Amino acid sequence: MASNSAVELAPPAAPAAISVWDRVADRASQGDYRPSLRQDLTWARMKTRHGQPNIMLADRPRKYLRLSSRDDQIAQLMDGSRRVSDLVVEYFRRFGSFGFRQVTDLVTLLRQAGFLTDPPRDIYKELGERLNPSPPVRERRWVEGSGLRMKFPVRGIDGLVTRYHDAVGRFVYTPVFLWSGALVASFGLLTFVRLLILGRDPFAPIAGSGLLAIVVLVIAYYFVIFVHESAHALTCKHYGRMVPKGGFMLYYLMPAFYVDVTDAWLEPWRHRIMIFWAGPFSGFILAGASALGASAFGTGLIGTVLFKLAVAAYLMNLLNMMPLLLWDGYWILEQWLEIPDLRQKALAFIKGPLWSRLWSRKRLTGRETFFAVFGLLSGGYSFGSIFLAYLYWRHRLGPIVSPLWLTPGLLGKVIAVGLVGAIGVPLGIRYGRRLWGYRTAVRNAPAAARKALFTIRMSDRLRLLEGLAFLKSLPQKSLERLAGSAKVREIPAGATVVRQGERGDEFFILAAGQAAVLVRDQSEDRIVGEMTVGDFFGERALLKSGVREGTVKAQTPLRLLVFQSKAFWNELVGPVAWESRVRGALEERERLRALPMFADTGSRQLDLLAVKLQVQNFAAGDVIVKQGDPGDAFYIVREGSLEVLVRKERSRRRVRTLKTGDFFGEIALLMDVPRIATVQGLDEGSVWRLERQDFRDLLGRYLDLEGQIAGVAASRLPHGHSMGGTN
Amino acid sequence: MQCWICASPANGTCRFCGRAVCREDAKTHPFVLEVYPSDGNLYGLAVEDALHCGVCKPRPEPVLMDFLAAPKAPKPRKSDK
Repeated sequence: MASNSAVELAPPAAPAAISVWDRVADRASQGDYRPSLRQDLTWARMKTRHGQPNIMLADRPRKYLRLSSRDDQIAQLMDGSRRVSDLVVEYFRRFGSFGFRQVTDLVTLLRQAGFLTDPPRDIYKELGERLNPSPPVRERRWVEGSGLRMKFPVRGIDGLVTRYHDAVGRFVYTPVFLWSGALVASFGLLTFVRLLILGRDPFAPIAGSGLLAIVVLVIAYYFVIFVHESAHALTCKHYGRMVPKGGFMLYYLMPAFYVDVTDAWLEPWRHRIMIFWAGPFSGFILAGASALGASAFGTGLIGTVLFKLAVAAYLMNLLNMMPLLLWDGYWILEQWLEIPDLRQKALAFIKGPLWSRLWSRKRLTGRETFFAVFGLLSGGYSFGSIFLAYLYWRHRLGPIVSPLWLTPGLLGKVIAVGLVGAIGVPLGIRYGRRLWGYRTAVRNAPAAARKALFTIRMSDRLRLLEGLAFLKSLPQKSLERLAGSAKVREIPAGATVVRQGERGDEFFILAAGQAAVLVRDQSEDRIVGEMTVGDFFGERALLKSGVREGTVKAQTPLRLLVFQSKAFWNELVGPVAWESRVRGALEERERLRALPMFADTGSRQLDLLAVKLQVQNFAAGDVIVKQGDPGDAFYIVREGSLEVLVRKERSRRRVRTLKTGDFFGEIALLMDVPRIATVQGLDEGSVWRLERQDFRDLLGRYLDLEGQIAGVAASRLPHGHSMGGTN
Repeated sequence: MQCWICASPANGTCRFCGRAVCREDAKTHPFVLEVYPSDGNLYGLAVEDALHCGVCKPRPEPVLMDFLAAPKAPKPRKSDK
């Protein structure tokens, strides 16, 4: 916005005497908070496969955040010298729009994540805890998770992995080794298939013992997992990243190993894929080498053992490459396609939107078709895997439990019941709960639907309506009529409420839940904002049969207050022209929305801003600001044109003309500086005026330095466990 | 007095800001009545559920008030003795 900067280049005036109460207001104002980013954080500025910026900020190995390139620029300014209000003005200067929400969300996120030098503190919460202490939670450092995904971490293994990498890395990560490995894997696979065709039995006894054969197969299986996880860890280390912990885990009560390679988020996408691929690749090399060895040693002891190792390695790594469960194959696919939460999105699509699209015979886009196919396959495979798990456990436990049960005496039966119970009870609880949930939901559906019609009490409806600044002038009775005319609609998580480009005549207020706003950008839906309780959308439909400017998708189950455009205006008809007042307020918002500087401003923020902006009319020759006067407000040209005049010695020179959408005086939002030019009307028109105090009040409403991270940060936190490399 | 939120008759005033609220709209919030040092520690008399309007936002962190410190008195010059 260099075009306007000429108006503001005066040196700051000597500070006027500030009262104690002004100082107290400054200290208590959230907008005057000066964020200071910690210096020990790690930045990684990368590109995605499609050339988009991919910026990560990390407090290794504790927390990783994904930032946009705008966030990146603003975060770098957080050195403790700038207030949040300075950052908003800087955002405006750099990007040409008022990023209230963007800046305040970023500050909130960084503070809650502990990335600022002053960690969040809540003395009232601490006081509440002291007055009413909650029962002590037993800290279990030796176990993480519970139930069917229980990990026993070994922390501080990074040094060990580094030494391991230093010892073998120089051989393993050479082109010769990698190509040789690929050849061994390929020839080994052919040999393995040949051995199977020739009738080699994977379950053949060893030294005449079937039990020994099973024991060898189990040992081989764990050896394969160990090699697999080592490969993930070594490759992560090869790219210079940390492997802070790893260990043993019980996944559905099956013993396994895992390593934590979350630090790989700081690597480019190619390296991330390589880290995921390293596990299966090492497995295929091991399997290939074992198959070649089994072929060379024949059916003797060594040959049989090697063949079992090959069987275990192929089985485990082929399963691992299956992209339908959250294993390596899935993460590779997700990284390649660059669709975060691919599985969740695909499953959400097949749960609801797919059927409504099919029902209305709408053509699916390419992406929707992919989601449909992937979601159906994933869902089917997940259910299938439960059945396979049942068969697996029956196969494993059957030979052990049956003889025990048939053994005379009570002890055998008790052991058999204990064995089945140890595995069956947790599984039963997990799936039983899920089934019970489905049953309850189906049974309660009609009652829930009936209840939903009346669940939003009149007082809550009124409170929601009172939160809308464009209805501020309405008397209580009109608000009550409006509140009564609204319908309640329940939307399941993942469903689309309105779709970009479609016409609509409904206006919505969010009464419960959380939704995402998506805008189509080069055939990709990009999340541009999130909405929570009290936010609203579709207000353009009140003015005309509005085309939806974005898609709104339910992130959690939503409860919406829905207003039909016609019914809405009917309730405002009366002796007083409330309708025209509300219509005027809405039209004012539409004018503001059309300005590029408010492109990043959400509906609710725009609503609040519209109330704070005062309209100041002018005629030709009227002076809006005068050179030398102290500045305390920012102006946007609403309509008409103005001229900027600079007086130098005795002459007065016009330096430029301002038209609708131009602005001047943004520095006055931050500090007292004398105006260095006079701005006066060239013809009849009006300007919007935003005063400094109103600007600070607006910031205070958005900044939530002590609030919870959840809503704000959801879209910025990379799914850490996804890089866990667990099996 | 009327409730700040719903304009019905108010039942009390917010301990933090003085806004009036009715029973339905009233919230509670911990409040420190008095803090005093003893045995090298700070002790306080506190209320767990003081009346809070839910509109004002008590800052959850101590705010530095260095500007309230009394200005340093000028050192007496030797010639003043």
